[in-house]
Amino acid sequence: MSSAPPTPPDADLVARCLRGDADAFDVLVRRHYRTAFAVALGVLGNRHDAEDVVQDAFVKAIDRLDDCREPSKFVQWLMMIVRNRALSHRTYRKIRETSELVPEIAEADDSPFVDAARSELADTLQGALATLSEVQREIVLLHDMDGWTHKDIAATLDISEVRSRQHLFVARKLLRERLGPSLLREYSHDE
Amino acid sequence: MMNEELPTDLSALDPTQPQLAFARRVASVRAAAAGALRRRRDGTPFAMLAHWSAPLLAALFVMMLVSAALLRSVPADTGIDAVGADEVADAISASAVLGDGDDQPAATPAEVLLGGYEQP
Repeated sequence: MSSAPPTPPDADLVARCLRGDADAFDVLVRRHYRTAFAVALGVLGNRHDAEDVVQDAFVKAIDRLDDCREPSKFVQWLMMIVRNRALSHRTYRKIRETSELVPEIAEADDSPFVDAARSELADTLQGALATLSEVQREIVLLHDMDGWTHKDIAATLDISEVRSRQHLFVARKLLRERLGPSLLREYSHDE
Repeated sequence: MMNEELPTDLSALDPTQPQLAFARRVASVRAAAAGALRRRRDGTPFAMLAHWSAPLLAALFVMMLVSAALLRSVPADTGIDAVGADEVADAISASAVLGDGDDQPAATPAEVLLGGYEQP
């Protein structure tokens, strides 16, 4: 979540979506897909399930767009839908896992070699993230993958900024222990 | 700087990369939402009803008020004044039925109508 407001603003795009504008919906999806994915992955711990939930959540969002009382806060409203859908999916998955074994379908990407390496790395990251608590996972994904500030995370998860920093610190420490320093990217600033 | 202060490289999990894969994901979402978007463009019967419900309800309310006012005005227009219980009793000659308070038997309606011609 960047500090500068995106153009066109979400409120305008929501108004256009209410009239069935597919292009406006496209922009909203592109703008918030990663955030929605971070939330879903934080809850589910599995990227394939997270993608299913994100798609489902966007469809639900367009279905119930009239319920979005504050279009300028569309992303917060969307995240609520994503989280609820992810929690439902997790419950469903638990039931499903007890009855059958469903193999994961590998996603087809651009180049087989690049994709294989990326997919392997994604699997490693996913495994490491699975060892974190749900809130730690969500915070590290929102902060390190989607660029959210602690202020925004704290407001969205209804925790203090200090708590958000603590969770992130512990999450990174645990990830570092499992992944090694090679996966840590050096930045000149934090936020 | 401690390692825990450095962001973790989670780019391998970034769903917006690679771009081609992301374009497919967006297209998939758009296809899944196409029906809902089309309904919004066209307007469903329910949506149209919802759109008109407020004016319809307002019109019904106005009609109800006008009807109530008309109903109240009907007795005044017919010229029939409201009558009390005493007047009704007088109209049906309750006193004749009940007698005048003496011991004589009350006259029957037939006697009243005949005006005593029945009596020899």
